[in-house]
Amino acid sequence: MKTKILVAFFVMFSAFGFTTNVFGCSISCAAICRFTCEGSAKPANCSDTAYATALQNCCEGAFANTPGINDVPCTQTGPEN
Amino acid sequence: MNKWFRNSLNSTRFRLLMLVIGIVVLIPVGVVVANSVKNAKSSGSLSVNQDITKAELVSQEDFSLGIEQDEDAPLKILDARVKTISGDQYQTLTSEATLLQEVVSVPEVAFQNVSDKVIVGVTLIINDKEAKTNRGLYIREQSIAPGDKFTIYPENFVRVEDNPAKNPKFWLSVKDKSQVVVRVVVNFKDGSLWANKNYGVQ
Repeated sequence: MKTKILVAFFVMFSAFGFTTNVFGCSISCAAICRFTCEGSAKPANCSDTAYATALQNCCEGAFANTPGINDVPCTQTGPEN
Repeated sequence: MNKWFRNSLNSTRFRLLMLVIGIVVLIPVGVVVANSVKNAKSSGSLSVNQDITKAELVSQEDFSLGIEQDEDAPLKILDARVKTISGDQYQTLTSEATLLQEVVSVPEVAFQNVSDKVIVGVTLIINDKEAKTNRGLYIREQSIAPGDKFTIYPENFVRVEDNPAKNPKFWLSVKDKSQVVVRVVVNFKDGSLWANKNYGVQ
C-alpha cells in the first residue's frame, strides 16, 4: 500500500515536473530515479553553463520534492575502469 | 554386487578416488561462483547497487551524433550514437502515433575523465540545432576518478521498467538527426564546474 502511494505521488510529480529560471534560462525538469533527472529548454537560447546550472537547480528541487524518489532505482551507469 | 560395493566403500583406494573426483568437480564450481561474485561487484560500480533493464528493439542502424567539445574538455566524449527505428515500429513499441518516418533514440554516450580531478556530476546536453531545443540529463552523486571511463545509456533516460524502449521518453523528437549534437558540463568534487567556451550559446 505504501509503495502504491509513493508510486502515485511519483507519477503525479513526474507528470507535472518542476521549472527553474537561471540567467534567463527557463527549464522544466523531472526526476527519473534517485541519481538521474531530465530537463528540457525551448528555445535553447542560454549558455551551457546557464543551462546546466538551471537544470541542476531544477533537479535538486525535483529530487527534494518528489516523494519516494530516493527509493526509485536507476538503470546501471557509472565508471568503468 | 552388494558385497563388492560394500567392500569398495570401505577401501582406502575407493575413498581416495572419490576425494579426487570431488575436488575435480568442486574446483570449476568454485571458479564459476567466484567469477559471478566478481562480476556482480564490478557492475555495481556506484556506491549504491543499480538495476539493469536493457531496451528491447530492432534498430535499423546506429547513427553517430555530432560531438561539440573544447580541446580542454575534462570529460572527453569518446562516442555518441543513437538507434533508429521506423515510425511504424515506434507506434508499435510506444502505442503513440508519430508523423516521423524515422525515429531516433536518446543517445548512448561514452566518456573518459582525462582531467586530474574527480568528477561527481555530469550534465549531458542534447542540442537540436534545427528545432533550437535542448534536452539534458543530469546525473548526480557519481565518483569518476581520473582516467575512468563512463557511459550514459539510453536506458538512463527512463525509469527502470520491463522494456525501456516502450517509453516515449526513450526517443528523441527530431526531424533531422544530423542536426543533433551532444555537449557535456561537468561538476568536480571540489565544487567547481566546467563547460565549453567555444560551443553553444555564449
